Amino acid sequence: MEWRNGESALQLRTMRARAWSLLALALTAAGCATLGSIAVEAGDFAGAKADAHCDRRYVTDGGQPAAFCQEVVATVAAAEFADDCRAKHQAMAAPGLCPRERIIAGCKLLEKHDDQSVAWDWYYDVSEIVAEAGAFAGPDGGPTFESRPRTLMDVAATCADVTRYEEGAELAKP
Amino acid sequence: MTLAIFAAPLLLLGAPAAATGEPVTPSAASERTAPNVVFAEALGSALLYSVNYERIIDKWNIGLRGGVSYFTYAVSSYGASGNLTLVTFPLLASYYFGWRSHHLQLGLGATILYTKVATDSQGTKFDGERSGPGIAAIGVVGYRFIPRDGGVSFGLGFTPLVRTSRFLPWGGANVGYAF
Repeated sequence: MEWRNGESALQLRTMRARAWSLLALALTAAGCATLGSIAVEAGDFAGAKADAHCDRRYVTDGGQPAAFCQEVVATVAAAEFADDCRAKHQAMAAPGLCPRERIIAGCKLLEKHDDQSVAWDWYYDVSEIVAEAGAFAGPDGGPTFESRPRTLMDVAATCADVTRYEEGAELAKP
Repeated sequence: MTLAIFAAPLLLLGAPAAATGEPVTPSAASERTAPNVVFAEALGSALLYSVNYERIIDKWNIGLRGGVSYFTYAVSSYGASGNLTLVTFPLLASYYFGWRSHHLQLGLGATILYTKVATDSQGTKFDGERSGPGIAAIGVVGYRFIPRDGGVSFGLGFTPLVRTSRFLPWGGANVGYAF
């Protein structure tokens, strides 16, 4: 019985230690999140937020073109976004919003960003690009664009695709 | 009990002389021998932090403060990208209510800001609407403990900043040394 009591006390101590560890972890996480929010607020006030876009229609170095451009509005991480655009997609990154010409419609991403920025994917009518480059100008002679929404309904279906937008997206018009 | 409640703020403001019947005015208090304060402020009028010097002009109960803050951060982890840099200079005039060392601080001034936006690895600048040089109006309502004869000082306050079409409700805490 004493051994059992000792075991219970040990379990209790272990549970308490775990509870304190979890509490400390939660407080640390909350503290970091708060500090992050404070830094973002200060950065926004100081003018550190900017807009940037990654135009996936135009790629270099054997990248796979896609019929959309992603824009992020009011982010402190515009430089990182642009570098990611070039490194991961070999696409064209630039300051400001995506070009509005030939947009069919867009998807407003519902995912939350730490800096409260908002992202849109704008889908384009790429028929002119295909006509110029050919239907199979992709890497290794593959299709120029793997998928091409042609109508508003196509874009709406893309926005509703949870395999593409895990946290959801809503249809947007330019 | 009631007396204790009313007496507490007086004691906080360092007015024990009132109990002895002496008039309590700043001029009646002993001459300040430590009119200089250097202090560090977390958040506050310089947004993130600042190091400051303040000169207390005792006969007018005012303090004139100047400070500086420098912050730089690598927004992009890619090589050759440029840091986001924020430099601020808070300038503030404060009126101090209260006696001896405990004060209610009311201040107005301006913070000169300079924000250099981050660049990506190709050197492209991502300018925001308010990046570059700028100025913000600042205010302070807070509590300051500034020992008249020198020593550790500290304070806590509401430190809002205002810029064109932008109001930032902000706060700050400071600790330093009076000499």
